[in-house]
Amino acid sequence: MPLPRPRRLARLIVRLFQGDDAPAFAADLEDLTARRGGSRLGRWFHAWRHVLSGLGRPLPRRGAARRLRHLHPRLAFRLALRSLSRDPVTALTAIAVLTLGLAAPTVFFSILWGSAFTTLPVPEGEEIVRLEVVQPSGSGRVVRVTPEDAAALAALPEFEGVGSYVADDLRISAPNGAALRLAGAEVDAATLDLLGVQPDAGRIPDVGEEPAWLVTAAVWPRVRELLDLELGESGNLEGVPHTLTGVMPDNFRFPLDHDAWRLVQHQPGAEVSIVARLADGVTTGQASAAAARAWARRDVVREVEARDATVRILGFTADRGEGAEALLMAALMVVGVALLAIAIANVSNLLLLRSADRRGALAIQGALGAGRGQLALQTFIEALLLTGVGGILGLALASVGADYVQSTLGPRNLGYHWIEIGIYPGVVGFALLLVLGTALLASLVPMTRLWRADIHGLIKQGDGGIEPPGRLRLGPSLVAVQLALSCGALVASGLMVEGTLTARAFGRTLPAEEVLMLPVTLEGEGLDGELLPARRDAALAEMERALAQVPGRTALGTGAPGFRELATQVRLDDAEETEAHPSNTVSPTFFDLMDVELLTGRGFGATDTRASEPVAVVNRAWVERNAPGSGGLGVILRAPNLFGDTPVRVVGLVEDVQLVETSEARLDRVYFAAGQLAPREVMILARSVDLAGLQGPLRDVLAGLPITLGEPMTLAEGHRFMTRAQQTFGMLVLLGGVSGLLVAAVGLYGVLSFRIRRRRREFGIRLALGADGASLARSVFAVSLRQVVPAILIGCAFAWLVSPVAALLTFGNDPRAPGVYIAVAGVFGGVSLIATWIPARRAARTDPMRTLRTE
Amino acid sequence: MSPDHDSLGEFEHLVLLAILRVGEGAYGVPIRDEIEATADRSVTLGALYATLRRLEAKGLLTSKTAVADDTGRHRKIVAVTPDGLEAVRHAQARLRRMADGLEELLGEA
Repeated sequence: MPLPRPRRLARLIVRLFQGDDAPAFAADLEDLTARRGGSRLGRWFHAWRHVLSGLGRPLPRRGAARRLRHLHPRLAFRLALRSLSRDPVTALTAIAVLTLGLAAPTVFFSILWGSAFTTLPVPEGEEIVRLEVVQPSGSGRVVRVTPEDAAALAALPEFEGVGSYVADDLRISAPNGAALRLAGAEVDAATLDLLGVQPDAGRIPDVGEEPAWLVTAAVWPRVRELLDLELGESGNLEGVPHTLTGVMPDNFRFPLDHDAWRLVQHQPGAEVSIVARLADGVTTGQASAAAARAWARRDVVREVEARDATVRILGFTADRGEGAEALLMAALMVVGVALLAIAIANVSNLLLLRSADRRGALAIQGALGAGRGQLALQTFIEALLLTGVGGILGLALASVGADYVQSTLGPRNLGYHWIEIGIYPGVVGFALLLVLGTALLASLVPMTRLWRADIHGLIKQGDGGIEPPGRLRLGPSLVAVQLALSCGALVASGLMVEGTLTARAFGRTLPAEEVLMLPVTLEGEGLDGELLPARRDAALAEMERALAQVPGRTALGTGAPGFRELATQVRLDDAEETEAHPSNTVSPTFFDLMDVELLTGRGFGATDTRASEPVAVVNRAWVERNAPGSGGLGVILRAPNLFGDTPVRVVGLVEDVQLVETSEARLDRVYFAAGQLAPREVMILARSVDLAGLQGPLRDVLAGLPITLGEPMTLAEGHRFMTRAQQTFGMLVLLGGVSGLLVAAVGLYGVLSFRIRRRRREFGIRLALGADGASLARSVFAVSLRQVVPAILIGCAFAWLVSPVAALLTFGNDPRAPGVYIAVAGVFGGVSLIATWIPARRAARTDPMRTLRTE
Repeated sequence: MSPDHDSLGEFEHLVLLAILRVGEGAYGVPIRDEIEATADRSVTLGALYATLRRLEAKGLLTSKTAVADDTGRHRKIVAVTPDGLEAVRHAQARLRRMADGLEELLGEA
């Protein structure tokens, strides 16, 4: 073991740092290692320790480093610039490749940075937690959290402070008549107290003082300009004068990316969210256990099943790079780094191509006294210039990408707390490191070739100095590997795109764009926990009557297909155990509104009331799953949480709603009659081709009713909203795949150009002997096919093998959908043909006379 | 004495002493072994070679590359120059002067 493995690297280091002493050093190392004994691995480590210990020492004055002494960086810069401007096509291609190659990992790194390394907006933010209530399985009811819950938690020693808040937009109107809507929250004094952030200016008022509100420094200039408000002055919030008492620090955000707060004392029974600060040394697990005990014994009136709700304490920082998102981010990072590696290899190839091309110029430089070091430096500076421009463009591209990710994956869309993706100084630093590393790696191979080149040979013969690229072992095999890799990446992104497309195609058979969903809260609901069922019945009946006056079709439902649907514990008459079934509680007009065809039996009607026999309507998939062969009608089931022990009879069978969000989505549904249950959480569903025109009349007829309306949304919007994360990740991977394809195509182009250049003399002779251009072009295509076809096969096979593992990324789509593989192979083949066509055309146009004269 | 001699570092000092102890034909491995055995200090080849080059640049030792008869391997044979010997003497004397009067404390009495 003269030098440890990998020997080439060890030899390079020893030669560079030991100079003329390298042979003696290697011999000494061999002596030492030979007598050391022990395991092979131990000897390997031992040998590397000796080799690397030379790295930290100053360079020797002999050997390799002597050549570095007389370097002229400014001259090298000027020459590099000139040589790049002489071949703008190669330069622009390299820049394009580098832009793509650098942008992708930068975006992915910005996601990582934004979710893991940004400063928390409150001091000791990792102690800030929230209470999450997991709804009792299958009850079909939603459990509310109230200020009383906050009080119960505050009594526990596990919490240092507990506050309650409601995230809601704040509408502020100023005395000058201007109005502004800010993303804000209604918070109680305890919340601001436990967050522990002091205002930059002004103060946080005490409880019981005048009504007050605060903003962040980030939106303060807008408030001042638009509303003409100063600190201490009053503006109207929800029609009541509130004094602006403080400006919070620029980066303070709570609960998500909200930046204005109204100080309130929440009413008993109001629905709130709970935030707390853990006491010293308490973990979220301990806090969860304590909260669960308190929840179970609390004496606020609740429905029986509401007590079964499980509560958890989650850190605000828990969203920062944990769980499935972390996996996705890691996957993206791998894609990004692979892409960069491919880009580096290709730029390296292009530079090599250039230096082989410029043998004459280099020879003259050498003859005029430029040392190898100077030539190598020039190559490095060329690479640095290309990478620098690519880096700047890549950073610009990454900034657009990061904005896109922030806007789609950002806090309010997905409820991620305290994640702000952007191009931070840390991300710029990362990009700079990438640029430097890329320049170094991309110029490494061309530099070593130059270093070893025989410059005198170049001058004498005009050849033989720079090793012909054909001997470059990296060349063809590298291209094959990168083609295969990018083919695999493209298959992965194709699968994701298929997922995204099918998710978008959801609603093809549903009038998703024509259906408006309007969440409704019954007034009084939540006070003391519950409305009396009779009052709820009356309110729903009133709503139905009012809706009947609206032009267009309307209905009530607890959810729409694929949106906010619940599950209910259901047991078939002969079964022992209950099971959660997807369910929806709807008014009689629901099926007609959704174009759900009634196959047999009947739908719901006005006669289905609390007084009548409980009935249900099921769909075809439900029958296939639960009562195959029965036809559905007349099946008796029990829904203990809804109807106690009373049997529920299936009276109708409807068509399945084509919910193609994922292949694993359950299509089976059991529908209950709103008239028999009067659900608490209900949505008004309205259908019209002119939804904008419908909203006015809808609000008019509902105006007098004791209800509060939520934000309207079409079913299509709702669905897009719910699948936004998938679409964003799908888009990112698609960008990665397409970038990979372009980058790989450039690589193929580079290698083919190399080969054609090498075979120029052969082509000249063949043409002189009577061959035609077309046959030469065919031979170039043959070379290309030998690279592309195995690459496609290997890439697809690789993707096929690992696709089950990547099923998470395909959102339930068949990871082996043949269509995707065929499409990718087609696209890949097409792009490869274009990359081959340019050099093939060049080969076909070879001028035999000129070639033979000059070569 | 040239100013260079004043800046003889501790490791350089050790290396020069080791070369003197090994005697004629001193090269990498025996020098390293001598330091490890006598001074009880672990030495890597990279550090040793760098120091040899530095001492050579200061003119404190000379080197020649020879091929060993038995193994055919390259050896960097080093020898201490008169200047080198002077530098060692100087460093030793300096150490002794510094330790003067501290014999009891240093346990050398």
